Formats: sequence, structure tokens, C-alpha cells
Amino acid sequence: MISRYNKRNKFFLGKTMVYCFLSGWALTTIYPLYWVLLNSFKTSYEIILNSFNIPGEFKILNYINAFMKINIGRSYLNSLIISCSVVAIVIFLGGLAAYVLGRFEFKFKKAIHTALMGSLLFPAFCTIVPVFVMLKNFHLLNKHLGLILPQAAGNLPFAIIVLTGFMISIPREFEESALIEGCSVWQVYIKIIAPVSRSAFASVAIFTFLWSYNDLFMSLIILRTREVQPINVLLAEISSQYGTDYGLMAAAIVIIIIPVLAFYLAAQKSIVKGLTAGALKG
Amino acid sequence: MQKLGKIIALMLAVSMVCALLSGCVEKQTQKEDKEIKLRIVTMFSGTDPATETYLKALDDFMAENPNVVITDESMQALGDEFRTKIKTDFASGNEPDVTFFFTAADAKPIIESGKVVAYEEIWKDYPDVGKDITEGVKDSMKEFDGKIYALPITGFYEGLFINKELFENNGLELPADWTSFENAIKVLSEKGIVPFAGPLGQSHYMIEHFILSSGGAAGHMDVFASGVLPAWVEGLDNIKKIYDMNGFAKDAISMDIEGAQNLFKQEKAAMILEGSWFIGGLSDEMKEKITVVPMVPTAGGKMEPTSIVAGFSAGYYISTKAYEDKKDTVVELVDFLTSADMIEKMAAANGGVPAASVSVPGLSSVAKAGHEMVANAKTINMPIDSRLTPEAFNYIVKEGTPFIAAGKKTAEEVLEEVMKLHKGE
Amino acid sequence: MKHYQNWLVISLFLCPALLLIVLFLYYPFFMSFFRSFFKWDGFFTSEFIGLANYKRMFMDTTIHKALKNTMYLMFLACFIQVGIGLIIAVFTDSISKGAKFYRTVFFFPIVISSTAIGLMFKLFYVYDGGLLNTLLNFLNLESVVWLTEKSAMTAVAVPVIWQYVGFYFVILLTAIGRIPDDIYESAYLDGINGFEKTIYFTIPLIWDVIKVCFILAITGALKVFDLIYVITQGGPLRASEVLGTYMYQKTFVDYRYGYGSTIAILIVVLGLVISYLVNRHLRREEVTY
Repeated sequence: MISRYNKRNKFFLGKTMVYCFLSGWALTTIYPLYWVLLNSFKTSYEIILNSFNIPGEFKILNYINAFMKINIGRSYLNSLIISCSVVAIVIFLGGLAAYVLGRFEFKFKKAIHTALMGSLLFPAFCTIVPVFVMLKNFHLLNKHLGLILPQAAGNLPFAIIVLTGFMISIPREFEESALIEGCSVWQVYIKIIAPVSRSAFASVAIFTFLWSYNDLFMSLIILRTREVQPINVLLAEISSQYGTDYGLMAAAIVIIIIPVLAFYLAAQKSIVKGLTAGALKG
Repeated sequence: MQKLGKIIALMLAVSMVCALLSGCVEKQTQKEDKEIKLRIVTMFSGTDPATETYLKALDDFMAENPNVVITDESMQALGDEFRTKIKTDFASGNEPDVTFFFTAADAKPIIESGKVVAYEEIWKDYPDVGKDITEGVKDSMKEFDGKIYALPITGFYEGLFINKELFENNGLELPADWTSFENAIKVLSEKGIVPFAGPLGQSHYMIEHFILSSGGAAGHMDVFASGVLPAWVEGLDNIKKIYDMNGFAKDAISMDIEGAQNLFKQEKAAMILEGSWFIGGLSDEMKEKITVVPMVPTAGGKMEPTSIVAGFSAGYYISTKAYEDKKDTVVELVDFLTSADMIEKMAAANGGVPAASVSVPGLSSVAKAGHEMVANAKTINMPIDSRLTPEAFNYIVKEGTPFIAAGKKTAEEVLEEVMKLHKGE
Repeated sequence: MKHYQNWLVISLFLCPALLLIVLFLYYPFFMSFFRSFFKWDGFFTSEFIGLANYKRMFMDTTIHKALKNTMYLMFLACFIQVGIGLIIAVFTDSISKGAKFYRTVFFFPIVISSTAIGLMFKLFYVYDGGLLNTLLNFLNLESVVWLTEKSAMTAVAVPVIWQYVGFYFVILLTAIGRIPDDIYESAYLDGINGFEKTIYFTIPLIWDVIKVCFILAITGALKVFDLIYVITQGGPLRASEVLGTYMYQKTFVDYRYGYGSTIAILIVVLGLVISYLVNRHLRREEVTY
């Protein structure tokens, strides 16, 4: 009896500690968002004076300013076209490549893996000039596709490396029995590998979406007129005045992060425990 | 997985439909024949104060010339993206027909590539283009080869911005010479006011003016013509001197330009070296409290007390390609954008010095002081960074000023290295 | 098994992705590599100078500083960043109430742009009226200059490390979530506690993914740029300069694309070598479930 009691007590302590730690970390992650939201209701001058106070009155001037200056609907649409296409391409091509790299045996496998790791390190500002010239020759400047292709390429190495890491540890028995039953490789991939990896796909999709959506540098240089530019380009432009208009910037950030958070919340459902087992049984 | 697959399929479908739709729209607008298309890139966009005026001008021009369709690809010049965009365009043969861009060091490679036309060439056929711009201003736009490639609309000046109220409250006169300048620093520092908002981490404007103050206009112009000029050494040493007198904020070494501006805007600092663009970001109340004067000359230095750093650092370029294909239209557009009327409107919007002799209504008291300062100046120099290579100038900023102030390097050492970098060009 | 050597499948599955990567990453990168032998302003003028950029790089004292700082960041990224990511992933996995809440809020820092986070930390550190000094004054303590030559690197490392903890959290949580419950069941019968469960079961089972996290942390640390650029611009006195910020300065501020490309090459080579070493030393028996 005594030992059982002790154990339970320890268990309780452990849980408390876990919650304390998690809540402590959560505080540090919530505060900045709260800070941004708070400051989006202040004028720039108030922010310089004191950015950590609750504003005396909530002014929506910054939002009005942002909405007046750009066609928010159109630029959200541009952002979604670009980022969703990038996610689709990366998930589709990256998944196939990761499957091959995680499962198949062939000569240059190691070399390809190293090459992928290397390309994780290429900074965008080191590749932009040749990419720009290439896009110009393909007549893709100022077109969505002209941004989608290099962004997809830029996110593929990350996606392939992470997905390969997941697929390597999937037990081979599943697919082998399917192969014996006469399924083609494509069917095995679609019916077994992809469903088992769906949580990994979801997390890769989140980050690909995020990076594509937030990529300012390439969008600025490749997309040149308001009709095609994504929302972050337009907001980056309006939110910085002579000096910087911090209030408008904070409002711009709030406007920008809404779709990303929505995407994350939607994709998060796929990263839930136990789905794997269910998928395998079914 | 099925769900995820569906989502991906949906995304693809949505984006394809959207792409198709936007494709259709594009084709329809392309249909009309005979129209002339112009591409223009400027920095009048976003929150640039001149944006509205500029966009209205483009609309007016298109209304007057219904056959002309202007594509405006302007982008505000913040950081280096604007420069990168323009240079990428020119380097890859995607140059706009009309470009509003910087002159001097930035323009040199573009001019050398032959992708923009000299106005001397254009004036042979169209002698009236930019006729409202004063001759003196035109002269100041001459590039390394003595030709003009860009027509400006407004110019800038730099100077010592002073919070008059803080000076008066502490029984100080505006600094007229080096002694009163140092005295003001001492008094203010004892009272717990930051005397001088000096961003040693980004000391661009300080380098200019401390060198001007010790070397005068001629010394300021002299970029290592015969080795390192002693006046330059003295100028940088003076920054250290003021640093040692507690003339800057406690965290000056890590301060950037915005930080210094904020100190001044909050009236925690009494002086700052800035340019005319600084006025735009000030509150109306502040604009009346402050004034701008030329940098104070050092005792026994060579600086004429009215000397300033100012100039016209950007203008409208016409690309060679456009001049060959659609001569009349581009010239007409640039002529329209540089007319006295436009110059007046743009100057009223951004507070700059107009390139034509027009009077700008509704100026604040500090802006008036600025215009007066320019009018009274015996010498007007372009900034040093228009003569030094970017790498050499940034060496003073990054590896120079803060290290000299902290006593980790001497000014001689730094300038020797700068000279090497500059001459390596 | 023969099936795993089918060339047709390998090339059909692999080539589209590789084609994109070669076209938009490798080709431009090799153009840059080629340019590292030139004195090039990035746009118009270029002059062949052989190995001069490489010689310069080895002599450049700023590079030495930046290299040291980058290594420091890399160390923190691997141990603190991935470490905290792992701890909060294990913790979140172990609870049922509130897990969804934590999963959501831990992701917040990543969605806010680095510029905004940089600005916020700048306002934390500002001497005059910054958050930290306001707190000190509130406690009747003297204001402190937070960004000094000694402290600057640590001061910028805090947001850099903190911002991406959530990234590793999401990846690791995904991996942990995939471990079927029945694996633990027999262990629970043996009276194992949570800590032992993590050490003996969870970590070995997700080892491949942890390795991937290390690789991402290393490459990420090598590319760190925007936060530092916003907070200190590498200052004061170059104390917080890292390879990313210095390369940016050389290419985009100084217009020395040739030299900037040389630094880019250094970054890529370093990343490859270190990732390779890590990969080798962390190799374990493959564990599957």
C-alpha cells in the first residue's frame, strides 16, 4: 500500500512539473504575439515612448491605413495561389523522392543525399541573379509561376530530408506483403507509404507554406506589379515610412499571420497521435 | 491520407483556376493595337510621401495620351532591395523604359554598360526636355564623363538639427564655433541630457560632417588624392574626443540611426546630424521646436561656416532601348514629370529642395531653415560616399568609427586600410 | 530485394524533384562558385583574380570572429534548441489535457516575421526606456548597457535560438506521435517511469528524426541572418557578426559579390563537413517498430 501511495505521489509531482515547464515556455511564446497585437493599436510615437503598456485607447487607425493602401483581398489571393502551389509541388515531388531515397538501393544515393544537404545551405541572395536571368529567358518574370518554381526548389531539399528521415523507419513488412499481392510501386506508395507518413507530410506542408508565404526577398525581385504581388510584399512596403512606422508594421504583421495560423491549425489535425496505427489497420 | 490528398488536389485545382483566370485578364488587356506601353520604375511607392502626387501625375499623363499605357513597377527605397531590383533589371536586359534612380557611384556601372542615354544626346532632338530645371542643378548631375544621364526633381541637404528648446532651457546659445559646441556638450551632459544623438554603430552622417568640419569643402572632396589627409584623421579623432566627453548616449557604440533619431524625437537628445528626409517623420510640434544649421567648424580648421553637404542624388533616366523604340513618348513623359509644376508638387509633398526655381508653399519652420541654409551656402558638396567605393566607405562605418571611439584602433590605421580598399578598385 | 533496385521507378520518382533543385539551386550556386574567382560587383563588371578572394578570406579577421560566433550559435542550436524542442515534445505527448493548446502556442514565434521579433528584442535591450532597464529601474537598480562587446553575441543568440524551438517541437512531436502505443504497453507492465520510457524507448525510436533535426539545426545556424541584422547589425565592434550577416554586407552593401560568393562557399563547405561528421558519429543500429 505504502509503495503504491508513493508512486502515485511521484506521478502527481511529475505531472505538475511537466505542466509548469510547458506553461513557462508557453508564456514566452504567447507574449510576443500579444505584444504585436497590442502595438498594432498604438501610434508609432506611443510605441517609441512605451511599447509595453496597454494603449490608452484602442485605435484602429493602423488597420484602416493598411486596408486603404492595398487591395487586401487580391493580395491574399496572390499569396494563396503562390504558397498553395508551392506546397502542392513540394509535397508531391518531395514525397516521391523521399520514398526512393529512404527505401531503394542505388549507386548515387549517398551522393544525392549529400547534395541535398548542401543545397539546404544555399542562401537566396547568392542564387538570385542567375535565377532572375533564367526566369527572364523563360518569360516568367512578374508571373506567379516564376516565383512558384524557385520557391518550390528552395523548399524541396528540406522536405526530402525530413520525409526521408520518417520513411526510413517505416517497417518494410507492410509494403512487401502488398508487393507480393501484386501491387505496383506507385500503388504501394499511394496506399501504404503516403498514409503512414501523413503526419510528416503535414508538418512539412506547414513549414513549406510558412516559408513560401513569408519569403519577401524573392517575391520583391521577381514579382513587380501590384496585381501579382503577395500580401507580405505590399505590407512590407506600406509599413515602413521614412524611419519606420512601428504601429502600421504591427498591424501588417497581424494581417499577415492570420492565414498562416489558420493553415497551421488545419494541418495540425493530421499531426495527432494514433492516426498511424489506425491507418495501418485499415 | 485521402483527406490530405484531397486537400492537395483542391489546392492545385484552385491555384490552376486562379492562374488561368489571371492569364485571361492579361490577354484581354493586351489586345488593343497601336497603343504604346511604357514601363517605369521609381521609388515613389508605399509610404513615400510623394507617392500620391506621382501616381496622380501618371494618371494625368495617360488621360492626356490615351494611346499610352504605363506600367508602374515602383518600389519604395528602403534598405538595399530597391538598388538590387534596379541593378538586376539592367544587368539582365530587363531595364524599364524610364527609371528614377540614384546617381554617382550607384549609376556608374549602368552608365558604363551603355544602357541609358545621355541627355546631351536627347537635347539634340528635343532641346526643351527638363527646361525648368535650373542650370546649377543640371551641372551638379554631371557624371564621371561630364554628361548628364538623370534629371532630378528634388534634392536633399544634411545638417546639424538642434532642439532649440533644450538649448534655451539650459541657458545655451546655438553653437556657432567649436568652443561653444564643446561647451554645450559639457553643460547638457552634466544636466543629464544626451548632448548629441550620435549612432556610432551607423555613423554615416557623422563621418561626413566631422571630416567637413576639420577639412572644409576642399578637404571633404579630397579622396586620397595624395595619401591620407590629416584633416580626415582629425575629423575621426574629434568623434572620439566627443565620445570621451560623454557627448553621446551611453549605448552609442551599439546605436543605429533609428535609435539616434528616436532619442532626438523624444527630446532626450539635443542635437543630431541628419538629412532633409528626417523632417518628414517629425511631429508638427517638433518641427517648430527645432532648427537646422551647418556643421560647426573646428577651431583653426579650414571649413567655411556655411559649407554644407547637399545635392541632387537621384533622377529620371531614359533607357537606350526605349529611346530607340519609342523616342517621342518616353521623352514626353520625362518632360512632363520634370516640369516646374510637377517639381513644385513633389517638393511640397516630400519637403526636399526643388530642382527648379519655384516657391513651395506651406513649409514648416525647420524646413524653411533648411532651405535658407542651402540658399546661403558658399560651398555645397555631395556626400563622401558618392566618391568612395561602397566597400571603402563601409569600412569606416563598420570597422572604423566604433573602434576609434572605443580606443581599439587609431584613425590613421583605419584610413590607411580604407585607402587600400578604395584604390584596389 | 530486387524490387528496390528498379531503375525506372528510381528515376521516375526522383528526377522531377532533382530537376527543379538542379535548375534553381545548383546551377545558380555553381555560377556563384565560378564568380568567387572574380572581382565582381554582381551586375556589370567582373575581372578574373584567381584565388585572391580565398586568400583574403583566410586573412580576414572579421571572418575569424564571424566563424567563432557561428560555431557558438551552432552549438546552442544543437543542444539548447533541439534539446528544448525534444523536452517540450515529450512533455506535450505525455499529457492529454491542454496538449492542443500547447501545440498551438509553441508555434507562435515561427509565424511572426523575424523582423518583428528582432524589433521586439531591440526594444528589450535598448538602454533608454527598454524593457529590461525599465524592470531594473522598477527594482531600484541602475540601468545596464545590454549590448556590449562581451554580451552582444549572447543577447542576439537568445531570440535566434528561442524562435525556432517550436520548429523542432513540431517535427519531433510528429515523430513521437507515430510510435504505436502497444510498444510501450509491455514496458508499463514492468513498472517503467516516464523518464526511463523516454530514454529507452522514445529517443531510440525517433533517432533518425533527431538526426535530421541536428542537421537542420546546423544548417540553420550557418544561415542565421535577419534577426541579428535587425538587432545589432553584427555590432557593436563586430562582436555579434556571423557568417550570414557578413556575407550579406559584402554582397549587398559593399557590392563585392565575388567575395560574398566566396563566403557562401565557406558556409556550404562548413555545413557539409559538419553535417557529415555529425551523421557519422550519431549512427546507431537502425531501430524500427
